Amino acid sequence: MDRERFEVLLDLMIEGDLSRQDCGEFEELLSRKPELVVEANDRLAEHRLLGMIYQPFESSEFADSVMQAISIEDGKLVNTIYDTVIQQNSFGGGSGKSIPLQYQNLSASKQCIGDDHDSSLLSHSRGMWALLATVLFMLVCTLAAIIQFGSFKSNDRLARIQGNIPKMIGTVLLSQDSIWETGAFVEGARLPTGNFHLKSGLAVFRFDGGVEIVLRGSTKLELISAGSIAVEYGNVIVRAEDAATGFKVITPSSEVIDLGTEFSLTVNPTGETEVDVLEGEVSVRPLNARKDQKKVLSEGNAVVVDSAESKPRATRSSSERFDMLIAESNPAARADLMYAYEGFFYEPGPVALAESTRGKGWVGPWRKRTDSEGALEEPETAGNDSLDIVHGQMNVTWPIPGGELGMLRFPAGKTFRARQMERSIDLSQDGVYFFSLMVREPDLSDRPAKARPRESMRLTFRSTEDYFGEALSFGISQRQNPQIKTGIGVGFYSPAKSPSDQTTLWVGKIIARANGEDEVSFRVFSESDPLGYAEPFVWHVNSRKLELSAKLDLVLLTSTGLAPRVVDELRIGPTWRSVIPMKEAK
Amino acid sequence: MDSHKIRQLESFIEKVQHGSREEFRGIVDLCLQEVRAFVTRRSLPGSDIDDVVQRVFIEAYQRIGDYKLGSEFMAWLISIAKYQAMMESSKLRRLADYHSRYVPRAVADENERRLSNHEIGDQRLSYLKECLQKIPIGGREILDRRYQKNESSKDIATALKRSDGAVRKQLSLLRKTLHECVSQKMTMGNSYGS
Repeated sequence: MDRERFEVLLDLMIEGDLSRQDCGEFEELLSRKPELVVEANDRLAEHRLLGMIYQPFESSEFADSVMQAISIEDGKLVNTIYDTVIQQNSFGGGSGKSIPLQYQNLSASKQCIGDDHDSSLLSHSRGMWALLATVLFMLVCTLAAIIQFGSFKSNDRLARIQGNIPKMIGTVLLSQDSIWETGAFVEGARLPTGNFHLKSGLAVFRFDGGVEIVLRGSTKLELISAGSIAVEYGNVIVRAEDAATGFKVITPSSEVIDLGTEFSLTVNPTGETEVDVLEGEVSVRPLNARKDQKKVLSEGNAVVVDSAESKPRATRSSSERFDMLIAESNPAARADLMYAYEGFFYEPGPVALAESTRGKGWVGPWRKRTDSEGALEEPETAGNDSLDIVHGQMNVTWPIPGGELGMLRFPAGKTFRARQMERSIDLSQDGVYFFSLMVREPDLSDRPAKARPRESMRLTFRSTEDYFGEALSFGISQRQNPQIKTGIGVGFYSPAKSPSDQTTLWVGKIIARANGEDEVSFRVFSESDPLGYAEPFVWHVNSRKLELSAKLDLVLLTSTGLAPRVVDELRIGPTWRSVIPMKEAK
Repeated sequence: MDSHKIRQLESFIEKVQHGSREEFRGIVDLCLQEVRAFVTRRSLPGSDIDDVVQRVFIEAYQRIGDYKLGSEFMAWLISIAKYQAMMESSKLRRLADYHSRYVPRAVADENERRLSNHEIGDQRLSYLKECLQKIPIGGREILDRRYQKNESSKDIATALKRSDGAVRKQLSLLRKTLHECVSQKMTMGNSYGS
C-alpha cells in the first residue's frame, strides 16, 4: 500500500503536480519509510538526467557564454584588486586579499601589486610621496584595466569602482498619465530600489519574484527589495500568484504579508492603513505588536489599523480588483510611439528594391548586402533584386490596423535584406527598445534532422559603421530553438521549440545601459498565445552579463532553408504597447 | 577520462595558471558534460542548472591557482560543483512554500547529505543511456514526447488517442523500469570496481 502510494506521490513530485496535501502526505510517508528517501532521490536524479539526455544543448555556445562571463568577472577582479590595494594603502598596508595565480601574470596589474607589497614608501602612507604614489598607482591600474578589458563600457567601470550601480528589482509594466515627482518611468524600464512618488495617474510594477502592484497617484513608497515595499501614503493593490507569496508591505502603522492573494492597501498621510483582501489571505500586524499578534484576514474582509499600537478593526470591503483597475485605464496600442515600421503594403508580385520605400522611420529602401558586408547570397537568389510581396499567406490572430495586405515572402535558399533605420538602437546609452515581427515558418515537422540547408530565420540589428562588430540577432536556431546572438561570440538559447507551420509573433526587448549590464529578452508567441497589455513575465531567452555599446542602425532579415517563409509587420519602438498588435485607443 | 584527454587537460590548466585566459575554453569543452551531469543529478526542481554550471566554471577559473598539477582535476572541479549546487539548494529552500508544494524536506535533506559526502560522480548518466536502448519503441515515443518535446501527459494522450491516466501510468512504469535497470548496473559496476 505504502509502495503504491509512494509511486503515485513520486510521479506527482517529478511532474511538479504535488498539492500541499500531497506534499504533506509524502513527507509523512517518507518519515515512516526512510529507505524510500534514497530511492526518491535517485529517481528524481534520473528524471532530471532524462531531461538532459533528451533536451538539445548547444555546448559550444554555452562554453562561449562561460568565457564571456569569465571575462566580465576578470573585470570585477581588477576592481577588487584595485580596491584592496587602495584600502591597504589607506590603512598603512598589511596582508590583504591574496591574488589568484593566473592574475599575477597580468604584467601591469602585477606591477601594481608588487609595488604595494614591496615598497616601503607606500607602507608609510602619509605625506606627499604616498599621495603621489597613490595617484600614480591609480593611473597605472586604470590603464591596465582599460588595456585588459577594453571591451567594457568605461562609465560602467567607473560606476563599479564607485559602487553606484543600483540594484534592479522589477519592471514598469504600465504607465498611464503618470506624473512622478522626479523623472519619468517608461514602460519596460527596470526599477531600482529606492523612493518613488507617483503624483497622479496610474502605474503597474512587476517585481522580479512575480508580484505585481498597481499604484494610483498620489502614492509615495519605497521599493526595498523584490519581496518588500514600504508605503508612506497612497493606494496600492498587490497581486501575488502562489509562487510569489510572502511579499511584505510596511506602512507607518502596520506590516502586511501576502499569503498568495490579491489585496488593496490604502494608507492616509497620518499612517492609518486600510487593508482589503480581494482574494486569498493576508496577514496583518500593527507595527509595534509582537510578531505572533498578526491577524490573518481572508477574502472579502477588510480592516483598518489606526496606528502602530492599535488593534486592527473591521471595516467594509469596498476596493476595486486589480484587473478591473487595469481595464478601466484602457491600455491600448501606442503605434504613434514607433521608431520604425514596415508593413509591406504593396500590391502582390515583385517590388524592385529601389522602390521599396514605404513604411516609417527608415533611411532609404530595402537593399541587399553590399560587398563589404559579405554579399554571399546563394546563387539562386543572388540575382533577385526585388521584394516578393504576397497577400493572405498568414493566419493572423492579432489585430492589425489597416488590414493584412502585403507580406514579404522569402524564397527557398539564402536571402538577406537590409534597411537602415533613422533612429539607432544605442547600446551605449540608457534606453529601452522593443521590436516585433510576424513570421510564418514552413511546416518543419517532417524535416529529417540532418537535412541541408538547415532552416533558419533571423532578425539582426547591426551597425552601419561597424557591420561585423557588436550586433543583436534574434531568431530560431537550426534545431528550432529561439536564440539571441550578439556578434561577439556570445549566444543565449532557449530549450523550448518554436512552433512551425503557423504564424508566430517574435517579440524582443532590449534594455541598454550606459553604466551596467544590458538586458536582452526574446519570446516567440504562437497563434494561440494571448498578448497582454504588458510584457510577459516569462521570456523564452534572456541574456546574462552582457555589456555592449554599439549603435545599431541597420535591420537585416535573413532567411535560409528549403522552403519559402513569409514575414510581416516589423515594428521597432520604445514600449511593449508601441510594437504589439493590440486594440487601438477608443 | 582517457589519458590523452587528461594530458590535454593538464596542458590547458598549466597555460591558464600562467595567465592565458583563452585556454580555459579548452577546460570547459573537456569537462562540461561531466559537470553538467553532476549538477543535473544533484539539483532540486526549480534549479537553474545552466546558471549553476556557469558559476562552477567561473569559480574554477578564479581558483585555478590552487589546483596542484598532477592531482585529480575532475574531483577538484566536482568539489566546486558540489558547493555551488549546495548554494542553489539553500536558495531554493528559502522559498516560502518550497517544502509544502514542490519537494518534501526529506528528499531535499537527502540531496544535501549526498552533496556534503565524498560522492564524486557516478555512472548514472551513461547507464541511463544504455537502459534507454532497451525500452521498446512505443515507450521511447512517450519518453521522447515527454522529455524532448516537453509535452504534458494530456498532450501526449491527445496525440496518441489515449487517456491522460493511461499515459501517466505508462510514464511512471517507464521511469520505474529505467530506475531498476540503472540500479542493477550500478550494483554490478560497484561490485566489479571494488
